[in-house]
Amino acid sequence: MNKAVLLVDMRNQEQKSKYFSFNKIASTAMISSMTGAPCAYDPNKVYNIDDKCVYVTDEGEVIIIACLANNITGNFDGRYWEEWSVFDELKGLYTDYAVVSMERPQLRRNKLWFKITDKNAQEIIDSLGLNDNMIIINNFIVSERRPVMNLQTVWGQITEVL
Amino acid sequence: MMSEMNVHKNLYGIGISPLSIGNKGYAQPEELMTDKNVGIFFINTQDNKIVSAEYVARCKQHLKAFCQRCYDDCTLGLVYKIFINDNHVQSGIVGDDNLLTNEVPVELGNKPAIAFRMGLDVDIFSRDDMHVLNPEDLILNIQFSLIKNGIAKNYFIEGNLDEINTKAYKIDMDAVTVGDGTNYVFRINTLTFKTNSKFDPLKHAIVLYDVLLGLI
Repeated sequence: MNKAVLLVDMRNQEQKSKYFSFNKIASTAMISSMTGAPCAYDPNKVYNIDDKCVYVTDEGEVIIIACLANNITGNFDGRYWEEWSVFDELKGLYTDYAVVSMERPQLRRNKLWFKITDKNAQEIIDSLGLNDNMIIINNFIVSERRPVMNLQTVWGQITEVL
Repeated sequence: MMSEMNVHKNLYGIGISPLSIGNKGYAQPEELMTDKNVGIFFINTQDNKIVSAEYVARCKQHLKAFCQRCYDDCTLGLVYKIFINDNHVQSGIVGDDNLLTNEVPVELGNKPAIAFRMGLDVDIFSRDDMHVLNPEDLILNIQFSLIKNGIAKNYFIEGNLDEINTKAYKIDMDAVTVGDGTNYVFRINTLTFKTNSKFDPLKHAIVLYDVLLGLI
């Protein structure tokens, strides 16, 4: 019979965090080649998809960010970067869903994201009292123009093609 | 001349073979056993327990490497061993078969797992000359569920062996939205190896020694 037996409890051996500590980044830079170690964003460099940088958030947390597009250069633009962690987002059923929110979610890999631009829609979300102003939907239409429809379906307007 | 001599078999020779591990129920105290597909040895102790220093050493090294990866990636959690087979070693894997005979639940209590990672100690080698083949040729499919108050959400991951062994996978809690209880269960439903066209079951062998599960 197949069964699972607990071998090691590592939860309390170190502070659990998905963020890289300063020590972690320093040691990575020391033991890896200089080209392989992540550095701070450099506006003179050209970045491509999945290139990584070290970034300090407003709260002072050090995180690694990954580039979402090709040929990114110049002043830092947060729209083209997302937080990266050692966790790989899960593939599977969840890819069928989309996220709807006012602000761009930090982690949206493998998820379609609709930005709320209609004030009425935001009022509805506020009335629902959802956390982070974010809802998950699985029936939606994406089109350039508003479709003619009778069913209650979420519609996402295409405003930008990357 | 030598080659002609080798052709003729010695019709009067006597061979002694250790008991197959699959027949461990018939083993006498202190009898030697082996997995005849792999060559790993076990022994039946005087009080009828099956032990193998070779297997224990291999599992110890695997656990050490797995914990080191957890440290390196800051994915510290609970580490479980999944028992795949009563014979300890799963040999004769040909692909596309579910290696689990039953689902493996892990009770999490009131704290859900936010991520998990797996470590599989697998050998894939040529039976002709025992050279090790590229583990990237081996695709692993894992189907699992996160259950909240008895309501399950099913997931799957599929990737080559190296990828599965080195990555941690985040579980989206948004996917489990029904119910507000506090009893979570992580359950592995199936574990399947998929082979590509390069794999020939007559020439190659896949052997699974150990499966570790880290729940973060």
